[in-house]
Amino acid sequence: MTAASLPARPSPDQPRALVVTGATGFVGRRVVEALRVRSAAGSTCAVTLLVRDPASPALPSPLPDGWRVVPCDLARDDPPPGAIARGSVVLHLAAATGRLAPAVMRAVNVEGTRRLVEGARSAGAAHLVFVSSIAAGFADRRWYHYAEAKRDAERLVAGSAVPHTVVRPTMVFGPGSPVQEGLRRLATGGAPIVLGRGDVAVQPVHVDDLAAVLVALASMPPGDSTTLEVGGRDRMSLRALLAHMRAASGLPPRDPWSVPLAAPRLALALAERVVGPRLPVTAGQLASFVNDSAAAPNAVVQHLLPAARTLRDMLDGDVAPIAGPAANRDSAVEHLTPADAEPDATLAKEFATFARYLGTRRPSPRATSAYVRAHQSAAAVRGDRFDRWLVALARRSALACGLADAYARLARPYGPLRRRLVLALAVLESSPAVHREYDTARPSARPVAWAALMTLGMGWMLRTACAVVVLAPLQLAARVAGNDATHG
Amino acid sequence: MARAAATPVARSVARYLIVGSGATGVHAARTLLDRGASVAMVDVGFERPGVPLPDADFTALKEQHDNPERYLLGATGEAVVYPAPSAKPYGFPPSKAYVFRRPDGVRIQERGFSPLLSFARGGLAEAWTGGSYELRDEELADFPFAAAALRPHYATVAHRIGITAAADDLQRFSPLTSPYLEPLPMDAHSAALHARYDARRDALNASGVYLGRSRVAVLSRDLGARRACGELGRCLWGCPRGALYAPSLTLTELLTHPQFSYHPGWLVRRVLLDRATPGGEPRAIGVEAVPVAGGGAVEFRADRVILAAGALATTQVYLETLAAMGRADVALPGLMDNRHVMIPFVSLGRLGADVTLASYQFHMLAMGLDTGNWRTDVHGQVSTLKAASVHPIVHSLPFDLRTSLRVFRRLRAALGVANIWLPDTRREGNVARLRRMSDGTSQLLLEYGDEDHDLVATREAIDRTRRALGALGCMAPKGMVKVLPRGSSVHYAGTIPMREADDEHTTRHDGSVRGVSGLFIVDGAGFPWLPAKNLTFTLMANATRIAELLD
Ligand SMILES: Cc1cc2nc3c(=O)[nH]c(=O)nc-3n(C[C@H](O)[C@H](O)[C@H](O)COP(=O)(O)OP(=O)(O)OC[C@H]3O[C@@H](n4cnc5c(N)ncnc54)[C@H](O)[C@@H]3O)c2cc1C
Ligand code: SF4
Repeated sequence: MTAASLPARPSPDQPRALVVTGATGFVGRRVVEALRVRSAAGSTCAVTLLVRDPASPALPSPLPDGWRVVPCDLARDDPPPGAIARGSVVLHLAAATGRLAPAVMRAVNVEGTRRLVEGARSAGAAHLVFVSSIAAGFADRRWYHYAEAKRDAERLVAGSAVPHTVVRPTMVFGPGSPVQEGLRRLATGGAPIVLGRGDVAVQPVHVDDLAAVLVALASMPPGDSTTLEVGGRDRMSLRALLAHMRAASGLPPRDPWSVPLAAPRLALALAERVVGPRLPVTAGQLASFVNDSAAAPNAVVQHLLPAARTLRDMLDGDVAPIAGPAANRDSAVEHLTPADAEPDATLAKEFATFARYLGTRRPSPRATSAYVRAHQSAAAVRGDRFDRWLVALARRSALACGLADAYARLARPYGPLRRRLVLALAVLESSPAVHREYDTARPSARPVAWAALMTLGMGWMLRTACAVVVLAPLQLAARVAGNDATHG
Repeated sequence: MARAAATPVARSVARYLIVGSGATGVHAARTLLDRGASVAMVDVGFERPGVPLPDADFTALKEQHDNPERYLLGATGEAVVYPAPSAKPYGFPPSKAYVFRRPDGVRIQERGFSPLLSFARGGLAEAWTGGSYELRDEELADFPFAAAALRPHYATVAHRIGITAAADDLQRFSPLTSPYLEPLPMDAHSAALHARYDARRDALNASGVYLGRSRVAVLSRDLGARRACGELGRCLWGCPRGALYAPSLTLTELLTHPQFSYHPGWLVRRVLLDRATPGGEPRAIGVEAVPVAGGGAVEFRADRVILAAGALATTQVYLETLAAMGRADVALPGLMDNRHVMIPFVSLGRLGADVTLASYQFHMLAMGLDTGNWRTDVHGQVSTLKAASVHPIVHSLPFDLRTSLRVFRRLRAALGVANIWLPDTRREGNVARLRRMSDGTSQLLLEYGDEDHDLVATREAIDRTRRALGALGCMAPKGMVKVLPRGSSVHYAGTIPMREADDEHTTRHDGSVRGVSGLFIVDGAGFPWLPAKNLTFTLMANATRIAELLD
């Protein structure tokens, strides 16, 4: 395609009405942000956000001038009259993803789309941009209700009289991306795995690149190409993607184990019939491991997104910080507010307990004050409800501290409790009277050392087993108690 | 460039103006002064704090210092290494914070690259571990001068700083053409590994593994005012005897020279150019600098300008200079850094042994992995655990902290780490460029991406090192291996390479920058290739070589 046949670049302040669905979702939030920036830069486009929950904190507040929020649950209701103005552009992002029953999937993704298409047609909308998924084009969609639903919704859009563009993003990465997080977990585990052979092609796109394409599409007339696949700059095998993600986290390269897919897919599909959508993954989600999900090249996308972000850009946030004074800080720390401050006496007592647990009966006043002073840096990771429970338990006694620590090593190795204990250790190993208990060797005959190591190992297993019995249910309870922001 | 703030005061200083007091700057200065020239050095130059109790060893320091917790961990615990997925088994102590402090207004954006920069008196090598290796002739093939031209300068530098070395199997990877000092006595653990290597030399050599004494810029006998290593075990916190070489020691000597003037407290922004002859080549006439403490820009004038600000800062100054010439959008390809991997190990034979904390702290053994091609050979240094901050190691063990501490103390004498480095080549996609910010300032943007073959080579090097450690009676658990992010080796090079071809943004064999007369680069920015072995000895020798050529 030559440049001449491309749609003209839209003039940014072309006044137009825009209706957006799914504004509070992962992609929707970034689209709204891009629109907000555009509006702050002087765009006069009227924006209507069609949302299920008008009180959602994900909505911009205050709303820019000329914007409004209209409540509408597309799974149940037609768009209210007046929601879509004549000649407006509709950006349809609302979708149900993840672990949901097939019926819910269809209600939102197919029936919701049908309602919106109908509303757009009767209101005389100028252009409907429908965000589908690369999965709609998967050859093997067995048990993948989401892909099926998206495919059916695409057909509805294509069959309607409204001028339209269907956008199929590949895997969408970026801060808060569920897919990226899932893959990162696979890639960085102690035993990284890849489902299937891992040779399918992938081409992740950054959420802000996708948002930019959508906003651009929304301000131009519908083009000739009605289905646009949008991917990032780099295309590679799934296996290579996992290797890059692993490298970006500073882990040594390791060949992931290849887990055959046929059996788990079948098993999951059967289990879903019995227990419904309560399993951690669905059979359908595994489809991404057997289908290529790279984007077909397209001149319009090329034109709208000349420099998509590279994989490197997307993994940037994952790159491990280096040591050094600046890097001893971790990037993810949340700073405490004064309201969180704990009284010095509490911290001094905490230190005494932790010191006893580690092996020092009476730490010196100077060591105690070093602990109290440095506490801010240890406490800089706030953690969730369960983390707070662990700290509270550890403070009770040296014994309780052992249980809490054993469990924290497994479940919350970088959490607040471990940080506090490590601070206590750092102080004690620097402290004149007691440092030898920490920074020296414990020499002995070699067999004695071996025996000591065996004993320590058994003690550890015992303590850990007790800790799991007592604390695993507690962790579950903390999760059920809600508001659990378990590390994102 | 925000120059409107004040009228720059022109300070006419000397024939040669050197930017930076790091390893390259001080040795270029030394040679120029020896040749009778006058030299001015403009530097940010953050200063090292005083060293407490200079005769106390590591243990005595903890017992005699009036606040060891503060000395070792900082006033608010800033030197505590907390558990994190990327945590290293050590951190830099507060007494080294000055080495990595950044002046306000230096902004760097990294993508896939985590750089360390220094603005200290003496630069990065105030915190180095002193590994110093001559390159083989073939490793200098990409440099636009004969290898023989560099040898005398290795000797000059070795003579100035003192490097310990032994004639052993490592000569295969690094020749010994300079005057070296006797190596320090080995600690018991290093000696045990070395003995084990001697016993299995044939098998190890057959698999391409060679071990020898690491070559270190540390004194085994007094040299001038510096005293021989007294085995205090305080190397990481700052050697109180001047035994472990640091460029600030050379700077101290330079300060007594009548032809030398030192101007600390100035951040150089760009090189000043004279474009008197229209259409002709612009000429460097000095630098524009701003006071680190804040205030208006000042000009320092000289006949020749020598950039020795460290590869990355030199790149920034060069790019700012281009930007002032109206060329703001230049991207310099070829940024390099060695891939750096840490491989912790346990020497099973040393279980239950004791360990002497008062002992030279860093590596005593080095290792070469022959890959059959000198361009891909891997270099390693093996450090056994002696004096250390132990909490980062303890919390990396997989048990609860109490058990980990006890396991650690039983294993203390058996622990060590092999650091290995892989070579790097200049590649188009790894670039340095400026990014203009909306407030008129700019940032240095560093972009680095690994290629698949990097990952393959890294994996292979890890496997071979682990096997070699196995043959030496050590266990090196795969799960403990850390591939450090690019930029961590602190061996930066390649953005304005020396080469014969007359290309833009390159330098000639004498360090002169093409397209600007009177401007020279003597640091790593000019390296056309980055071998695996630590580069600083070669950096210093090359800076000396260039200083010898300048008119
Ligand atoms: C922990 C650690 C261990 C290391 N171990 C080894 C090792 O074992 N072997 C080895 O070979 N190498 C090692 N290195 C690397 C070695 O330290 C560096 O290669 C070397 O110091 C580089 O010297 P340089 O002169 O090029 O620049 P730098 O050391 O970076 O010095 C730069 C100088 O320029 C000044 N400066 C910078 N920008 C400006 C500006 N804009 N205006 C004015 N002044 C400026 C700074 O104040 C400083 O004085 C190690 C580094 C670290 C951090
Ligand atoms: S080099 Fe290290 S061991 Fe030797 S005197 Fe200096 S601090 Fe002590």
